[in-house]
Amino acid sequence: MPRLLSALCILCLSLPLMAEPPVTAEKPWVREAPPGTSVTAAYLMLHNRGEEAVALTAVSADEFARAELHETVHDEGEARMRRIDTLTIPPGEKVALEPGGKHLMLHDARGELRDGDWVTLTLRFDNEQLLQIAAPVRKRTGRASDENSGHDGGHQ
Amino acid sequence: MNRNLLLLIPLALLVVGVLVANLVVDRPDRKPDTEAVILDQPRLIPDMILLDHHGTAWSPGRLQGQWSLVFFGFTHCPDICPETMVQMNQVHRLVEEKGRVMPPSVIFVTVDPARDSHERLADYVPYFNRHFLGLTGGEEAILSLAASMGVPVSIPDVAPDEDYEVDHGASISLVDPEGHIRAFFTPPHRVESIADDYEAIVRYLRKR
Repeated sequence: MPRLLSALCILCLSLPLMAEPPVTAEKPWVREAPPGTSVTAAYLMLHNRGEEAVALTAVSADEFARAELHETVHDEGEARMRRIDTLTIPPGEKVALEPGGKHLMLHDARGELRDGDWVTLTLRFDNEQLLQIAAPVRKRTGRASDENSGHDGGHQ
Repeated sequence: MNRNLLLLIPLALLVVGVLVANLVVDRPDRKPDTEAVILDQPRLIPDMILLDHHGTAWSPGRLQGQWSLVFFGFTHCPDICPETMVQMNQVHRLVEEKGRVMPPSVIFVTVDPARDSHERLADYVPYFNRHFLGLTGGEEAILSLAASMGVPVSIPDVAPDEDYEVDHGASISLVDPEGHIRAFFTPPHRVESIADDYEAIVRYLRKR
């Protein structure tokens, strides 16, 4: 009996650790950097399955020197990249990071990354959740050849 | 020959006549209803010399002979510039597939000449489509082309090895085969509507 009790206690104590992390990522991908360029962008859909709002506060990518959360904004016909410090995901909602909108800007690739390679992204949230994501690198040129191979850039 | 058949002949001629007339005048008379802004008067492009991605001198005279879509960007731009290239490729393909008008020639002008040499553009532009043309050159010439197309550009005053971005207008200009600006596509860009508007505008303007 004492053994059962202590087992139950351990189970109770570890419950918060075992709880499903509230934020999940869907359809992550990294744009293959065109030749000669060392900056590119990562895209994904963040889904907050929890009951409280969660904010994304920091991002990094193993294969890049630096990563930042950015947004392309259209201001009177002018396209401007803006750095975002935090991105809040309301409870139960999804926020899309997609071409022409919010994205993770990736600076200075440590090596050449081509279609089919993988990038490890780490996202830190204000609830202490760390989300690690494996995102495939995809060539996106708008040619029929890269669109018919099951690539979906989250585009119309 | 019986009388009924004789009556049919003028009717048949009339039908053929209407069909031929429609083929000859394949041009809508009314200004099409487009998302793109069609200019009331064609706008001239000032003369200037730029460098294309092959390293050959380029002047606006090269725009003559075909319809062109011209837009501005830079290669250190991770999201909107490559995405606009992707969209131009999709527009080009949609127009080609419909086959009603000739697809446009597509021109990408850098707003970051300090970092975007013609060699760099030669790596970047054909990656999307080998028929697209990249242009670079002196800052003044680029700013003058941008200004004629109503595109604001703010080139920051920093060393080229620093990390910087160049805020720029995202409109796409439509240039006619005489080398005059006829319309603007303003952001946010949608591939289908650019392709439809392009076709409608070219058909409306081509014999005017």
